[in-house]
Amino acid sequence: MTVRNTSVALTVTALAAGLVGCASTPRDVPELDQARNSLNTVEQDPLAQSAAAVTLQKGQLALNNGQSALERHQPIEIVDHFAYLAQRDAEIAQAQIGDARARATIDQATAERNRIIAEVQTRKAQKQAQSAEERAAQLQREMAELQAKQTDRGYVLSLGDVLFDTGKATLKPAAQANLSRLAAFLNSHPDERVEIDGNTDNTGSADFNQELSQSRANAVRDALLQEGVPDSRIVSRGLGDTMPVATNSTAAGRQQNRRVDVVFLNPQGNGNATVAAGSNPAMSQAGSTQGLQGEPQYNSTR
Amino acid sequence: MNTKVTRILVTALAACSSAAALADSAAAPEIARGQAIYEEAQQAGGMAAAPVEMQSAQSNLGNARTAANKGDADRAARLAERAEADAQLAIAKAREQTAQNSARQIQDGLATLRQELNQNVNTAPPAPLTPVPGNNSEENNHDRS
Repeated sequence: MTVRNTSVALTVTALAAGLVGCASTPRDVPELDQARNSLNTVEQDPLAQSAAAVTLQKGQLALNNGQSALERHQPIEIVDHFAYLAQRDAEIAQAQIGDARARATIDQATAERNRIIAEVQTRKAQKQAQSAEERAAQLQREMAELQAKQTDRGYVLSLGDVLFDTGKATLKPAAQANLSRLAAFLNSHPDERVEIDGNTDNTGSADFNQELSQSRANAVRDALLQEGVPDSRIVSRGLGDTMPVATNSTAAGRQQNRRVDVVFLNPQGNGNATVAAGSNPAMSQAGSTQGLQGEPQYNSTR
Repeated sequence: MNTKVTRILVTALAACSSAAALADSAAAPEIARGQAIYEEAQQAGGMAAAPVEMQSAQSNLGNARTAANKGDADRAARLAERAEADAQLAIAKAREQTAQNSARQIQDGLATLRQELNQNVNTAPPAPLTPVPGNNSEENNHDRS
């Protein structure tokens, strides 16, 4: 009961204060004007309608309420209150517009980001394809330099018997240049593995041929090892006379059969590259002076 | 004398029954709503994004409760509405700031990506392998042509 009385008293006091305030207040309330200006400013923003229409409507309503409170001479704190709400709505609308603008930026940037990522992917793929092509072309050139030929077994470098003295498995000094180039190739292509196959003609016993072919294959292998090619990448085999590439019934055929083949086991780009057949000048030269020297067996038959 | 007693009584009553007065106040729904939006603003990161507005909301809410306790429901309701408007602004600012931060991050990322793209354009193809020293250069030239 007492509380109610007090509250009534307080209300009356407040109303009285309000009326006094109103009576002495000019018709322009700065807070209301400021809220109106704020709302008008925000409404100018191109994004206002799409981002903050509801808030701006609310603000206008508060502004109208404030205006009519002012016109109906309601207490100044009522007018102030509506001005406060209208001002807040203008600020909220401003933030909503800023939010929308930032989101638009995000959307734009995301689209741009996706476009760039796709572009980067495409260029990377192009570059990879290009460098794969370049690697294949490079390999092809190097194989051509080595005089390797493409066969059913892949690239095969056929070293004639001119690398060795007759009946011996010791490499001639002239062979060194060729083997150095082979070693350099292998050292610059760490994935490459080679099989070194020693072959002979069919003159002489199979056992002798087998042993000689193995020794010569080993000599080539050892030369590569000396040049730093790891053992794990080299297999050497003596095939004796089991893999002739020409007839053994002519001297020329037999000379072709006496050879060491270096088979490249997995050259990159092997499938597509073709190597133009050609003679290595170094080897032709050697051949012209020494090529007719044959195995002891060959000599004995001649 | 009578007034003095009443005052003491009022003070005592106000202290122990403020919660009840608040709940009974005609402004209770506004105050509850203001409080709810304020809490929402807290969760939205309003404290960091809009400390001034959050401070204002809190102070308006406190004043609204005081007014309600004093039985001035109209004033309490108005203060609660102000608190709500403050909190709404804090929420809007927090959202705006979050979006702006994201926008900045993604734009920074874009700059990096563009750099990568340009590097991809400008990077020279991998250096050719060391040429094998050979004594058949004439033939090499032939092969390359």
